[in-house]
Amino acid sequence: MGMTGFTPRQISEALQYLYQHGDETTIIAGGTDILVRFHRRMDELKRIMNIWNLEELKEIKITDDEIEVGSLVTHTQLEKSAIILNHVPFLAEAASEVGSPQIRNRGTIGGNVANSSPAGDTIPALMVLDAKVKLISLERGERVVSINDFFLGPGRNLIKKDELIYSFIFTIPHENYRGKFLKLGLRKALSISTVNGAILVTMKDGLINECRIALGAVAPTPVRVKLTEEGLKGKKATKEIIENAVNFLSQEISPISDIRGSRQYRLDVAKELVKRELLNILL
Amino acid sequence: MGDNELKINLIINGEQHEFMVTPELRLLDLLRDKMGLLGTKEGCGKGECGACTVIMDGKTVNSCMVLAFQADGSDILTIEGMGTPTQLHPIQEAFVNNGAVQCGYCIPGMVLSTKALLDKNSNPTEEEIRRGISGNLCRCTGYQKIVDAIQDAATTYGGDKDER
Repeated sequence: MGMTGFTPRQISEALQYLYQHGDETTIIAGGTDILVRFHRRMDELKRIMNIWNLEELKEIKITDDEIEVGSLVTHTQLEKSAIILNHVPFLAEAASEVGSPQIRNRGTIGGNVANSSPAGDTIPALMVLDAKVKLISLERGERVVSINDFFLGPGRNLIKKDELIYSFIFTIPHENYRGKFLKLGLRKALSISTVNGAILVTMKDGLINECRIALGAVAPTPVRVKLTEEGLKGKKATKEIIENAVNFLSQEISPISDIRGSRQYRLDVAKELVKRELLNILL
Repeated sequence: MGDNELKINLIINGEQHEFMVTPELRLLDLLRDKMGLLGTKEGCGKGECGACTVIMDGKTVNSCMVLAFQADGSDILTIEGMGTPTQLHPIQEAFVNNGAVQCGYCIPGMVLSTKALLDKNSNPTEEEIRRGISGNLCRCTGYQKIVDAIQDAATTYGGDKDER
């Protein structure tokens, strides 16, 4: 007898299933990562739980100061959502750069995060938003962890075998913030990022106040580059300050060489992308 | 019948069907092997090429990346549901008239991506067209004529308003 497939109709059913069979269950939503990873070797899986029908996880909600994005929100939904476009357009832009229309129609933000590829395009945007990941399980109920502590290595994260990602929650950034998504791919569509990232900056009294920069595909996990951020905070934005700050990047990222680019190329490009975008949004 | 098989119901090209499927069966395999709908092609099998594109509940998907049991309850349109050899769909007509078809392998996917695009946006710009078919590769590289065909199709096919 081969693999067992299960489609829960309610979240409670999903959690119950994970409680009983979490150790041997692979969770599938849009399938755009799972079916690539297990291409022609699906028989290695014991149990597959299809969460695509959990409607409760497909909502984008806004309250006075927070936005909550359900884990099953697709990239297409993010890219077109009025809430996202109004308040965090750089997250919509990140989603719009994922794969192709077909992949954006199926791939979900929860899947992008759960897959934990260092190159996941929505992740740097969530990181500069200081998003919280809400995880749920039958035994422990809800727990919330920062996206910035969530990743442990390529494909590895803090999710336990009996847990499901419920949503991502972030504070709506200050009105006058500037945000930007960065991506260098080898072509326009269907490209896994060679380097990606996101920047969120606020100004106060002519000085850089909040400054958050996250980069992907340049380390074992997507990373916040704190030295570079600190090099900019509280400073007046000038070309020199920006050029000095991005020099810290080579100390805080550790890219590898692969088919999409060499280590040195990624270092140079990361520095250049961040510098260019900072000049663009600050000067 | 194995005891891990699941019963699913699908609407395929307007007709209701019931199947027993193993969990690892892909929607692509169901369409080709169980239904004999060979217009849906397998190219890369990994979501890169779009040859297996079908429309599922109004949206294009790569049928190689959907497990058949995940599609339970959904409404699927394949190229066989678009037009017939004697009565082509206006999009197919435009592809023929513009010489957009070379080897033909990518065309079912291209036509379905075009339908999904025009159903949402009946008057797309060239850039929107190129983005709309960015998940469909043509190894004959006949993109310009495909884009021409889609521009032409936009004038004859106003899009299905129900899909909007």
